[in-house]
Amino acid sequence: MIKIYVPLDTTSVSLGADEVVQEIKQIAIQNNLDVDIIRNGSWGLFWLETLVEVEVNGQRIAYGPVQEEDVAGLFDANFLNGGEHPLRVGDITQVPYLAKQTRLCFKRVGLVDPMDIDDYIKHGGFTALNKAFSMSAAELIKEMEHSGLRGRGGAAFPSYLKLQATKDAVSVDDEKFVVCNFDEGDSGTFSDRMMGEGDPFMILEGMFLTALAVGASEGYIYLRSEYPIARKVLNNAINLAKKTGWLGKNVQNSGKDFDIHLRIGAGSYVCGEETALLNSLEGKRGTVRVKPPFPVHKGLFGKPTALFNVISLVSMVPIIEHGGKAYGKLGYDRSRGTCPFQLSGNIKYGGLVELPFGITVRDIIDDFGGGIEFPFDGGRDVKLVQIGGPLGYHMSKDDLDNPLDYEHFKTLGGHIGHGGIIVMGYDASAKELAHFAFDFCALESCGTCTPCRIGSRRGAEMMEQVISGESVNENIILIKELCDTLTQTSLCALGGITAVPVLSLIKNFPNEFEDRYNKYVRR
Amino acid sequence: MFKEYDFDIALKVIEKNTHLKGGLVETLRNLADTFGYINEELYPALAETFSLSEAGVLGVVSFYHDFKTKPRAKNVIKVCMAEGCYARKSKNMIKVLCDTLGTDIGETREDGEFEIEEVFCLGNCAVGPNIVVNEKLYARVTSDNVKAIINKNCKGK
Repeated sequence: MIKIYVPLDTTSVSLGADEVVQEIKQIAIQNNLDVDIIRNGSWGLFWLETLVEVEVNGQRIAYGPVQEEDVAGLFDANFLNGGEHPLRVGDITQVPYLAKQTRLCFKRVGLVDPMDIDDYIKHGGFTALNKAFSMSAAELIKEMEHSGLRGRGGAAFPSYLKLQATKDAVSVDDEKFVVCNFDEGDSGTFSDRMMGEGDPFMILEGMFLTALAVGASEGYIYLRSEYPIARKVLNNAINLAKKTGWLGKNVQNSGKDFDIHLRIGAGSYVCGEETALLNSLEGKRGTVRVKPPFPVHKGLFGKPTALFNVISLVSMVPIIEHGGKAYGKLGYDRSRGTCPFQLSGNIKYGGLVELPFGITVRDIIDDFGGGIEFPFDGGRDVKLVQIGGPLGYHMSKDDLDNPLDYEHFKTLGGHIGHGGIIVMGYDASAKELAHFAFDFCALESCGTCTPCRIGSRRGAEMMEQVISGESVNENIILIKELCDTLTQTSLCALGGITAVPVLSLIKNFPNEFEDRYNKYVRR
Repeated sequence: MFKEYDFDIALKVIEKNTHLKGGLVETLRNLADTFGYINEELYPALAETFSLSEAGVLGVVSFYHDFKTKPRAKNVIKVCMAEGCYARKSKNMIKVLCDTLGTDIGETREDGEFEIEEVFCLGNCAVGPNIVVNEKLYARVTSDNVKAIINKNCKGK
């Protein structure tokens, strides 16, 4: 039996992985070959998708990018024995893009079969959980404190403080919840999706660790509806874990109970905000709640709730497994550990790059991204880089030497957010992007607070005028004032950081927001 | 694809979720997955099941982009409008797509054959521009190949 790995990842499937699998099966049947096709997660080297790996003498030989019509040629080249072929990549882990990374969260993604819990255990899964069963909640939280882990969803709040507060919170009937925020709505981000599709059990393990630390026995995953494959994989993972006794009552005879429910969102971006997410989980409109009370005190169904992003949860697994101090050694300044950065946009080698904080944007784009893919309009260079989603900081190519680190980005006036990096070439228009930021906020605003609900609409209208060249200079003055209002008075981060893209674009590309002909008013 | 709307089947979907704590969004999700939209004749049943007013149900339905209140077109095409795809030149492709189908973003063609829905990020940014044609995701869609993708996946013209 020859083992062949073809990813089930959304990206691979969108590039024809299912058709490749069909073709391999068909040719194998015709030639009476006994093959076992395993659908793994993607390694995150997306220009090589669909990547087909064959196990030869215990080693995995990769071929990519494979399309349906290449399969017959691969059989002719005897790829089942690692034969030579123009698409042969060899050992995928030796490709510099992957070899240069520090994969802690993503160490199993691509390697294991996400539909098989035994494969997870074989590759070191549940080691952290087994260790945690013999630790007290205080010890678990201590490890988190040593690690310096901060929320990876965007707010960068120290995770141990959240755990401690949820643990200390008093609940009448002792009911507490763990919620996994899988509403990854930022454009340019896909790390949560890859984790959910490539190594779902690690998310369950991270949630269980959180539950042990805070004393919860029930958890919810709030998954966005745009990820149907992650939905299928996670559903299967939860069912398997229940069947094999890794979820449910008295898990592995530890005396601990923990159960997880999967809930699907409904296309609302603001539901990635923690209190809106809780409202949505309760079946209500996904509007933002006024804080305080914070979710750690009054969260889901009014009970203390530890709500974490997917990557924060999976980061807890290596922290408990190898100790918080080992994790905390990685990183830069006050941003400790690794972060899966997601590289996309107009770039040759888009993909997932997990690295310790502190690498500069230029290093990521040059060492990993390989420069611009489609040069348009004579420009062959990077024009701007958007970091942290649609409401993130837009830097010009002069700023690329800034290190990726929470504090450093704060001083710039931005945020790393969820680690999405979108590179744009010279065809991108700063004005259009600023308009998009307002328009997006207007579309996704939950409507609870006035600055966000009305301000975003007015901002979009003013940007439309700027684009059509009406009263440009006057409108920019008003837009800057509006941004100030949004930042100071919005209830949540949606309105609060809509100003970030707009102001950074105006700051970094001033000549696009200026009507030079009418700079001097005739008197 | 979606089933033809049927009141009895819809009631069964609702009744299946009665035990869920705060299950209105989940129930609407199931209804939308089954029929593609939420028929307003279900509001009284939903209101009673989840102890809300009918206005309360409408409030939740209208909040979420995924919950439509009208039957869907025969072919639903979702187009990513976000920056990841914008950076990879989605603008030209979207124009060609709209011209080909004879309708606009967020609208349904009069004969009910095609509907273009805007979405923001399908999590496939590294290989954009992306479109979803009747639940199947396509990457690297350009102004040159978009017509072929539509022709391959859509019945009707």
